[in-house]
Amino acid sequence: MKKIFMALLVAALCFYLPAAAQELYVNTEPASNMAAKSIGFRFNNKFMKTTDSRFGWRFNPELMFGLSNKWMWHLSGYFSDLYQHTFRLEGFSTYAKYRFYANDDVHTHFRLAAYGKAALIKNPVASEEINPDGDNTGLGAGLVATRLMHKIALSASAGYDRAMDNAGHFKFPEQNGKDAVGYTLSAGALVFPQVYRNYRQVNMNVFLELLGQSNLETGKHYLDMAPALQFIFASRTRVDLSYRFQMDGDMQRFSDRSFLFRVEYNIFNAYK
Amino acid sequence: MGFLSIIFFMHVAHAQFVKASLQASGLTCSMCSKATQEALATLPFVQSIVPDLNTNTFALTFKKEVPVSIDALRKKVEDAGFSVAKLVLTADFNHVKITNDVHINYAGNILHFVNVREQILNGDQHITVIDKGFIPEKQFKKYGAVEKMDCYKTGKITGTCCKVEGKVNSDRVYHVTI
Repeated sequence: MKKIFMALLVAALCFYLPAAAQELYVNTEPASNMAAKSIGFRFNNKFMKTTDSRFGWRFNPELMFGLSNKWMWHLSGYFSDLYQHTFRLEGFSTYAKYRFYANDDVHTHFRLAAYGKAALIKNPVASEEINPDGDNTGLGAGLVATRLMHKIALSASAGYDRAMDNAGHFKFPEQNGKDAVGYTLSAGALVFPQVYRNYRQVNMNVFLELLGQSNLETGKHYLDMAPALQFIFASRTRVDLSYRFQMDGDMQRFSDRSFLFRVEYNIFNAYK
Repeated sequence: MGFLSIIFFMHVAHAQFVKASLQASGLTCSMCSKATQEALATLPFVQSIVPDLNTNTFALTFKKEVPVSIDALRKKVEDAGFSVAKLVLTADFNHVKITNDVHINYAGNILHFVNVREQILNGDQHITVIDKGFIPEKQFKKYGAVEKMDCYKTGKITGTCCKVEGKVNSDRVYHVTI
Protein backbone atom coordinates (compact mmCIF):
# COMPACT_ATOMS: atom_id res chain seq x y z
CA MET A 1 0.00 0.00 0.00
CA LYS A 2 2.75 2.39 1.04
CA LYS A 3 4.77 1.56 -2.07
CA ILE A 4 1.78 2.17 -4.35
CA PHE A 5 1.15 5.50 -2.62
CA MET A 6 4.81 6.49 -3.06
CA ALA A 7 4.83 5.52 -6.73
CA LEU A 8 1.67 7.54 -7.37
CA LEU A 9 3.10 10.52 -5.55
CA VAL A 10 6.36 10.46 -7.50
CA ALA A 11 4.44 10.05 -10.78
CA ALA A 12 2.12 12.95 -9.91
CA LEU A 13 5.09 15.19 -9.07
CA CYS A 14 6.83 14.32 -12.34
CA PHE A 15 3.81 15.19 -14.50
CA TYR A 16 2.62 18.14 -12.49
CA LEU A 17 3.89 21.56 -13.58
CA PRO A 18 3.79 23.97 -10.68
CA ALA A 19 2.97 27.66 -11.15
CA ALA A 20 5.76 28.80 -8.84
CA ALA A 21 7.91 27.74 -5.93
CA GLN A 22 6.61 27.84 -2.39
CA GLU A 23 8.56 27.67 0.85
CA LEU A 24 5.91 28.02 3.57
CA TYR A 25 6.60 24.44 4.64
CA VAL A 26 4.12 22.69 6.87
CA ASN A 27 6.27 20.26 8.89
CA THR A 28 9.53 22.23 8.89
CA GLU A 29 10.68 25.85 9.03
CA PRO A 30 12.39 27.45 6.02
CA ALA A 31 15.55 29.56 6.41
CA SER A 32 13.42 32.60 5.56
CA ASN A 33 11.84 34.56 8.37
CA MET A 34 8.48 36.16 8.95
CA ALA A 35 8.19 39.93 8.43
CA ALA A 36 9.80 42.13 11.08
CA LYS A 37 7.28 43.66 13.51
CA SER A 38 4.67 41.04 12.67
CA ILE A 39 2.93 38.67 15.05
CA GLY A 40 1.62 35.27 14.00
CA PHE A 41 -0.80 32.99 15.80
CA ARG A 42 -0.69 29.29 15.08
CA PHE A 43 -3.16 26.69 16.25
CA ASN A 44 -1.57 23.31 15.64
CA ASN A 45 -3.64 20.18 16.08
CA LYS A 46 -2.06 16.73 15.82
CA PHE A 47 -4.14 13.61 15.79
CA MET A 48 -2.69 10.14 16.36
CA LYS A 49 -3.51 6.74 17.75
CA THR A 50 -2.57 6.33 21.42
CA THR A 51 -0.94 3.27 22.96
CA ASP A 52 -4.34 2.15 24.28
CA SER A 53 -5.81 2.50 20.76
CA ARG A 54 -7.74 5.71 21.32
CA PHE A 55 -7.85 8.59 18.85
CA GLY A 56 -5.60 11.13 20.59
CA TRP A 57 -5.38 14.88 20.08
CA ARG A 58 -2.51 17.28 20.82
CA PHE A 59 -3.36 20.97 20.71
CA ASN A 60 -0.34 23.26 20.39
CA PRO A 61 -1.02 26.99 20.28
CA GLU A 62 2.02 28.95 19.09
CA LEU A 63 2.84 32.66 19.22
CA MET A 64 5.36 33.91 16.63
CA PHE A 65 7.21 37.21 16.62
CA GLY A 66 9.19 38.77 13.77
CA LEU A 67 11.77 40.62 15.87
CA SER A 68 13.77 41.93 12.91
CA ASN A 69 14.42 40.82 9.36
CA LYS A 70 16.99 38.38 10.77
CA TRP A 71 15.49 37.16 14.06
CA MET A 72 12.23 35.42 14.81
CA TRP A 73 10.94 33.86 18.00
CA HIS A 74 8.23 31.30 18.81
CA LEU A 75 6.52 30.43 22.09
CA SER A 76 4.49 27.23 22.27
CA GLY A 77 2.17 25.51 24.69
CA TYR A 78 1.17 21.84 24.52
CA PHE A 79 -2.11 20.27 25.62
CA SER A 80 -3.21 16.71 24.96
CA ASP A 81 -5.05 13.59 26.01
CA LEU A 82 -2.32 11.32 24.59
CA TYR A 83 -0.92 10.06 27.90
CA GLN A 84 -4.16 10.05 29.89
CA HIS A 85 -7.86 10.15 29.18
CA THR A 86 -8.31 13.77 30.19
CA PHE A 87 -7.04 16.79 28.29
CA ARG A 88 -4.29 18.65 30.17
CA LEU A 89 -1.33 21.00 29.82
CA GLU A 90 1.85 19.06 28.95
CA GLY A 91 4.40 21.86 28.80
CA PHE A 92 6.02 24.66 26.83
CA SER A 93 8.72 25.26 24.27
CA THR A 94 10.56 28.20 22.80
CA TYR A 95 12.27 28.44 19.43
CA ALA A 96 14.46 31.16 17.91
CA LYS A 97 15.80 31.40 14.38
CA TYR A 98 18.51 33.66 12.99
CA ARG A 99 18.76 34.15 9.23
CA PHE A 100 22.43 34.87 8.64
CA TYR A 101 22.64 34.74 4.85
CA ALA A 102 20.32 35.76 2.03
CA ASN A 103 21.01 36.11 -1.66
CA ASP A 104 17.80 37.18 -3.41
CA ASP A 105 17.06 37.43 -7.09
CA VAL A 106 13.63 37.94 -8.64
CA HIS A 107 12.68 34.28 -9.04
CA THR A 108 15.44 32.56 -7.11
CA HIS A 109 17.01 32.89 -3.71
CA PHE A 110 19.28 31.09 -1.32
CA ARG A 111 19.08 31.58 2.43
CA LEU A 112 20.76 30.11 5.48
CA ALA A 113 19.59 30.19 9.07
CA ALA A 114 20.50 28.77 12.46
CA TYR A 115 17.95 27.82 15.12
CA GLY A 116 17.77 26.84 18.75
CA LYS A 117 14.98 25.23 20.68
CA ALA A 118 14.24 24.43 24.32
CA ALA A 119 11.29 22.44 25.67
CA LEU A 120 9.97 21.74 29.14
CA ILE A 121 7.49 18.86 29.10
CA LYS A 122 5.69 16.95 31.85
CA ASN A 123 4.86 13.55 30.38
CA PRO A 124 6.03 9.96 30.97
CA VAL A 125 8.79 9.00 28.51
CA ALA A 126 7.03 6.42 26.35
CA SER A 127 9.06 6.55 23.13
CA GLU A 128 12.63 6.17 21.90
CA GLU A 129 12.05 9.10 19.59
CA ILE A 130 13.24 12.44 20.99
CA ASN A 131 10.43 14.89 20.30
CA PRO A 132 10.61 18.31 21.96
CA ASP A 133 7.20 19.11 20.45
CA GLY A 134 5.24 17.75 23.36
CA ASP A 135 6.95 14.51 24.38
CA ASN A 136 10.42 15.38 25.70
CA THR A 137 12.12 18.04 27.77
CA GLY A 138 15.29 18.92 25.93
CA LEU A 139 17.42 21.24 23.85
CA GLY A 140 18.02 21.38 20.13
CA ALA A 141 19.99 23.42 17.63
CA GLY A 142 20.61 23.22 13.91
CA LEU A 143 21.03 24.78 10.49
CA VAL A 144 18.53 25.32 7.67
CA ALA A 145 19.27 26.00 4.01
CA THR A 146 16.48 27.04 1.64
CA ARG A 147 16.88 27.34 -2.11
CA LEU A 148 14.10 28.86 -4.16
CA MET A 149 14.24 27.97 -7.83
CA HIS A 150 11.86 29.04 -10.54
CA LYS A 151 9.23 26.38 -10.00
CA ILE A 152 10.17 24.65 -6.79
CA ALA A 153 11.54 25.56 -3.36
CA LEU A 154 13.82 23.09 -1.62
CA SER A 155 14.84 23.24 2.01
CA ALA A 156 17.12 21.03 4.05
CA SER A 157 17.91 21.08 7.73
CA ALA A 158 20.19 19.21 10.09
CA GLY A 159 20.09 19.52 13.83
CA TYR A 160 21.14 18.06 17.13
CA ASP A 161 18.64 17.13 19.85
CA ARG A 162 19.43 16.36 23.46
CA ALA A 163 16.79 14.82 25.68
CA MET A 164 16.70 15.51 29.40
CA ASP A 165 14.57 14.18 32.23
CA ASN A 166 10.96 15.23 31.81
CA ALA A 167 9.31 17.41 34.41
CA GLY A 168 7.23 15.66 37.07
CA HIS A 169 10.03 13.21 38.02
CA PHE A 170 9.71 11.35 34.72
CA LYS A 171 13.32 10.25 34.16
CA PHE A 172 14.69 9.85 30.67
CA PRO A 173 15.80 6.18 30.44
CA GLU A 174 19.62 5.96 29.99
CA GLN A 175 19.30 3.07 27.53
CA ASN A 176 17.23 5.22 25.12
CA GLY A 177 20.24 7.42 24.30
CA LYS A 178 19.99 11.14 25.09
CA ASP A 179 21.59 12.42 21.88
CA ALA A 180 20.12 12.38 18.41
CA VAL A 181 20.53 14.07 15.08
CA GLY A 182 17.52 15.15 13.07
CA TYR A 183 17.38 15.90 9.37
CA THR A 184 14.69 17.11 7.00
CA LEU A 185 14.25 17.67 3.29
CA SER A 186 11.26 19.64 2.00
CA ALA A 187 9.95 20.61 -1.40
CA GLY A 188 7.09 22.99 -2.10
CA ALA A 189 5.20 24.50 -4.99
CA LEU A 190 2.27 26.80 -5.70
CA VAL A 191 -0.63 25.11 -7.51
CA PHE A 192 -2.97 28.06 -7.91
CA PRO A 193 -3.60 30.78 -8.74
CA GLN A 194 -1.61 30.43 -11.97
CA VAL A 195 -2.13 34.17 -12.45
CA TYR A 196 -2.68 36.54 -9.52
CA ARG A 197 -5.46 39.10 -9.65
CA ASN A 198 -5.75 40.35 -6.07
CA TYR A 199 -5.00 39.62 -2.41
CA ARG A 200 -8.38 37.95 -1.86
CA GLN A 201 -7.67 35.01 -4.15
CA VAL A 202 -7.21 31.70 -2.39
CA ASN A 203 -3.69 30.27 -2.83
CA MET A 204 -3.15 26.52 -2.82
CA ASN A 205 0.28 25.01 -2.23
CA VAL A 206 1.55 21.44 -2.10
CA PHE A 207 4.51 20.10 -0.16
CA LEU A 208 6.40 16.88 0.19
CA GLU A 209 8.63 16.53 3.21
CA LEU A 210 11.01 13.91 4.61
CA LEU A 211 11.77 13.95 8.32
CA GLY A 212 14.28 11.70 9.99
CA GLN A 213 16.05 11.13 13.28
CA SER A 214 18.99 8.94 14.25
CA ASN A 215 19.96 8.29 17.83
CA LEU A 216 23.69 8.84 18.27
CA GLU A 217 24.00 6.33 21.12
CA THR A 218 21.70 3.46 20.14
CA GLY A 219 21.95 3.88 16.36
CA LYS A 220 18.18 3.50 16.04
CA HIS A 221 16.44 5.67 13.50
CA TYR A 222 13.24 6.58 11.68
CA LEU A 223 12.44 8.26 8.39
CA ASP A 224 9.00 9.78 7.83
CA MET A 225 7.32 11.14 4.76
CA ALA A 226 4.77 13.94 5.06
CA PRO A 227 2.80 15.16 2.06
CA ALA A 228 0.95 18.39 2.83
CA LEU A 229 -1.64 20.70 1.38
CA GLN A 230 -1.94 24.40 2.20
CA PHE A 231 -4.54 27.06 1.59
CA ILE A 232 -3.97 30.78 2.10
CA PHE A 233 -7.05 32.96 2.49
CA ALA A 234 -7.05 36.72 1.94
CA SER A 235 -3.20 36.67 1.99
CA ARG A 236 -3.34 36.52 5.78
CA THR A 237 -4.80 33.24 7.06
CA ARG A 238 -3.10 29.95 6.39
CA VAL A 239 -4.63 26.49 6.72
CA ASP A 240 -2.30 23.46 6.61
CA LEU A 241 -3.17 19.78 6.32
CA SER A 242 -0.60 17.04 6.47
CA TYR A 243 -0.40 13.29 6.89
CA ARG A 244 2.92 12.05 8.28
CA PHE A 245 3.88 8.39 8.20
CA GLN A 246 6.97 6.28 8.79
CA MET A 247 8.71 4.87 5.72
CA ASP A 248 11.58 3.24 7.49
CA GLY A 249 12.81 2.83 11.05
CA ASP A 250 13.58 0.65 14.04
CA MET A 251 12.70 3.01 16.88
CA GLN A 252 9.93 2.28 19.27
CA ARG A 253 7.71 5.36 18.83
CA PHE A 254 4.54 6.68 20.45
CA SER A 255 2.92 6.66 17.03
CA ASP A 256 4.41 6.16 13.59
CA ARG A 257 1.70 8.15 11.84
CA SER A 258 -0.15 11.36 12.58
CA PHE A 259 -2.42 13.90 10.97
CA LEU A 260 -1.81 17.65 11.29
CA PHE A 261 -4.40 20.40 11.00
CA ARG A 262 -3.14 23.95 11.49
CA VAL A 263 -4.63 27.41 11.26
CA GLU A 264 -2.27 30.38 11.18
CA TYR A 265 -3.15 34.06 11.26
CA ASN A 266 -0.67 36.89 10.74
CA ILE A 267 -0.78 40.53 11.75
CA PHE A 268 1.76 42.68 9.89
CA ASN A 269 3.20 45.86 11.51
CA ALA A 270 1.76 44.66 14.81
CA TYR A 271 4.13 46.83 16.85
CA LYS A 272 6.53 49.76 16.39
CA MET B 1 37.54 62.96 -10.82
CA GLY B 2 36.66 65.01 -7.74
CA PHE B 3 37.34 68.12 -9.81
CA LEU B 4 34.91 67.00 -12.50
CA SER B 5 32.34 66.13 -9.91
CA ILE B 6 32.42 69.66 -8.51
CA ILE B 7 32.12 71.15 -11.98
CA PHE B 8 29.11 69.03 -12.80
CA PHE B 9 27.48 69.41 -9.40
CA MET B 10 24.06 70.95 -9.71
CA HIS B 11 21.28 71.74 -7.37
CA VAL B 12 17.72 71.11 -8.49
CA ALA B 13 15.49 73.31 -6.38
CA HIS B 14 11.89 72.57 -5.47
CA ALA B 15 12.13 69.10 -6.96
CA GLN B 16 10.42 66.04 -5.56
CA PHE B 17 10.15 62.41 -6.55
CA VAL B 18 6.66 61.89 -7.92
CA LYS B 19 6.32 58.13 -7.93
CA ALA B 20 8.29 54.90 -8.07
CA SER B 21 8.11 51.36 -9.29
CA LEU B 22 9.59 48.92 -6.79
CA GLN B 23 10.12 45.27 -7.60
CA ALA B 24 10.77 43.01 -4.63
CA SER B 25 12.54 39.67 -4.78
CA GLY B 26 12.46 36.57 -2.63
CA LEU B 27 8.67 36.52 -2.33
CA THR B 28 6.79 33.27 -2.85
CA CYS B 29 3.14 34.07 -2.23
CA SER B 30 0.53 36.77 -1.96
CA MET B 31 1.00 36.69 1.83
CA CYS B 32 4.62 37.84 1.31
CA SER B 33 3.43 40.59 -1.06
CA LYS B 34 0.84 41.71 1.46
CA ALA B 35 3.43 41.88 4.25
CA THR B 36 5.69 43.97 1.99
CA GLN B 37 2.90 46.29 0.89
CA GLU B 38 1.73 46.86 4.46
CA ALA B 39 5.31 47.63 5.51
CA LEU B 40 5.73 50.16 2.66
CA ALA B 41 2.37 51.74 3.51
CA THR B 42 3.69 52.77 6.95
CA LEU B 43 6.18 55.22 5.35
CA PRO B 44 5.03 58.82 5.90
CA PHE B 45 5.79 59.89 2.33
CA VAL B 46 3.86 57.12 0.59
CA GLN B 47 0.47 58.22 -0.71
CA SER B 48 -0.76 55.05 -2.42
CA ILE B 49 0.43 51.61 -3.53
CA VAL B 50 -0.85 49.51 -6.42
CA PRO B 51 0.62 45.98 -6.46
CA ASP B 52 1.22 43.67 -9.38
CA LEU B 53 1.25 40.31 -7.61
CA ASN B 54 2.55 38.40 -10.63
CA THR B 55 5.76 40.39 -10.90
CA ASN B 56 5.92 41.47 -7.21
CA THR B 57 6.11 45.07 -8.38
CA PHE B 58 4.59 47.91 -6.37
CA ALA B 59 3.60 51.16 -8.06
CA LEU B 60 4.10 53.82 -5.38
CA THR B 61 2.80 57.38 -5.47
CA PHE B 62 4.48 59.87 -3.12
CA LYS B 63 2.97 62.75 -1.18
CA LYS B 64 3.97 66.15 -2.59
CA GLU B 65 4.94 67.81 0.69
CA VAL B 66 6.82 64.97 2.47
CA PRO B 67 10.48 64.28 1.57
CA VAL B 68 11.13 60.84 0.09
CA SER B 69 13.79 58.62 1.68
CA ILE B 70 15.16 56.13 -0.84
CA ASP B 71 16.86 54.04 1.86
CA ALA B 72 13.66 53.85 3.91
CA LEU B 73 11.97 52.11 0.96
CA ARG B 74 14.72 49.48 0.88
CA LYS B 75 14.64 49.03 4.66
CA LYS B 76 10.89 48.35 4.67
CA VAL B 77 11.24 45.65 2.01
CA GLU B 78 14.15 44.07 3.91
CA ASP B 79 12.22 44.17 7.19
CA ALA B 80 9.41 42.28 5.50
CA GLY B 81 12.02 39.56 4.86
CA PHE B 82 12.76 40.28 1.20
CA SER B 83 15.02 42.37 -1.05
CA VAL B 84 14.66 45.13 -3.59
CA ALA B 85 15.28 43.78 -7.09
CA LYS B 86 14.57 47.03 -8.92
CA LEU B 87 13.69 50.58 -7.92
CA VAL B 88 12.79 53.05 -10.64
CA LEU B 89 12.03 56.57 -9.41
CA THR B 90 10.13 59.11 -11.46
CA ALA B 91 11.70 62.56 -11.03
CA ASP B 92 10.89 65.86 -12.65
CA PHE B 93 13.81 67.75 -14.24
CA ASN B 94 14.09 71.19 -15.78
CA HIS B 95 17.03 71.45 -18.20
CA VAL B 96 19.58 69.48 -16.19
CA LYS B 97 22.71 68.36 -18.00
CA ILE B 98 24.06 64.96 -17.02
CA THR B 99 26.96 62.78 -18.01
CA ASN B 100 28.90 59.98 -16.37
CA ASP B 101 29.83 60.70 -12.72
CA VAL B 102 27.85 63.92 -12.57
CA HIS B 103 26.32 64.68 -9.15
CA ILE B 104 22.93 66.24 -8.63
CA ASN B 105 21.30 67.30 -5.40
CA TYR B 106 17.75 66.26 -6.08
CA ALA B 107 15.23 66.98 -3.32
CA GLY B 108 17.99 66.65 -0.72
CA ASN B 109 19.36 63.40 -2.17
CA ILE B 110 22.77 63.31 -3.84
CA LEU B 111 22.38 61.39 -7.10
CA HIS B 112 25.54 60.14 -8.80
CA PHE B 113 24.87 59.24 -12.45
CA VAL B 114 26.53 56.07 -13.73
CA ASN B 115 26.65 54.52 -17.18
CA VAL B 116 24.74 57.35 -18.93
CA ARG B 117 25.33 59.24 -22.15
CA GLU B 118 25.70 63.01 -22.07
CA GLN B 119 22.22 64.49 -22.25
CA ILE B 120 19.92 67.22 -20.98
CA LEU B 121 17.04 66.05 -18.80
CA ASN B 122 13.65 67.69 -19.10
CA GLY B 123 10.30 66.69 -17.62
CA ASP B 124 9.55 63.36 -15.92
CA GLN B 125 12.47 60.94 -16.11
CA HIS B 126 12.76 57.36 -14.87
CA ILE B 127 15.95 56.86 -12.91
CA THR B 128 17.01 53.44 -11.63
CA VAL B 129 18.88 53.11 -8.34
CA ILE B 130 21.84 50.73 -8.74
CA ASP B 131 23.31 50.80 -5.24
CA LYS B 132 23.90 47.69 -3.13
CA GLY B 133 20.57 46.42 -1.82
CA PHE B 134 18.60 47.99 -4.67
CA ILE B 135 19.53 45.42 -7.33
CA PRO B 136 20.42 41.71 -7.14
CA GLU B 137 23.97 40.97 -5.96
CA LYS B 138 25.01 39.71 -9.41
CA GLN B 139 24.01 42.99 -11.08
CA PHE B 140 25.74 45.00 -8.37
CA LYS B 141 28.98 43.17 -9.14
CA LYS B 142 28.52 43.86 -12.87
CA TYR B 143 28.09 47.60 -12.27
CA GLY B 144 31.03 47.46 -9.84
CA ALA B 145 33.24 46.36 -12.73
CA VAL B 146 32.24 49.52 -14.66
CA GLU B 147 32.04 52.03 -11.81
CA LYS B 148 35.34 51.75 -9.96
CA MET B 149 34.86 54.67 -7.55
CA ASP B 150 34.90 53.83 -3.83
CA CYS B 151 31.59 55.56 -3.24
CA TYR B 152 29.84 52.91 -5.33
CA LYS B 153 30.96 50.16 -2.96
CA THR B 154 29.90 52.04 0.18
CA GLY B 155 27.12 54.36 -1.01
CA LYS B 156 28.86 57.08 1.00
CA ILE B 157 30.74 60.23 -0.03
CA THR B 158 34.44 59.54 0.43
CA GLY B 159 37.61 61.63 0.20
CA THR B 160 38.69 60.42 -3.23
CA CYS B 161 35.41 60.94 -5.05
CA CYS B 162 32.05 62.58 -4.85
CA LYS B 163 33.16 65.95 -3.49
CA VAL B 164 29.83 67.67 -3.16
CA GLU B 165 29.26 71.22 -2.05
CA GLY B 166 27.78 71.39 1.45
CA LYS B 167 28.16 67.65 2.00
CA VAL B 168 30.76 65.89 4.09
CA ASN B 169 32.44 62.51 3.85
CA SER B 170 30.17 59.66 4.94
CA ASP B 171 27.00 61.42 3.69
CA ARG B 172 24.77 59.20 1.57
CA VAL B 173 25.18 59.23 -2.20
CA TYR B 174 22.78 57.26 -4.41
CA HIS B 175 24.13 55.84 -7.64
CA VAL B 176 21.57 55.98 -10.42
CA THR B 177 21.30 55.34 -14.11
CA ILE B 178 18.81 56.09 -16.86
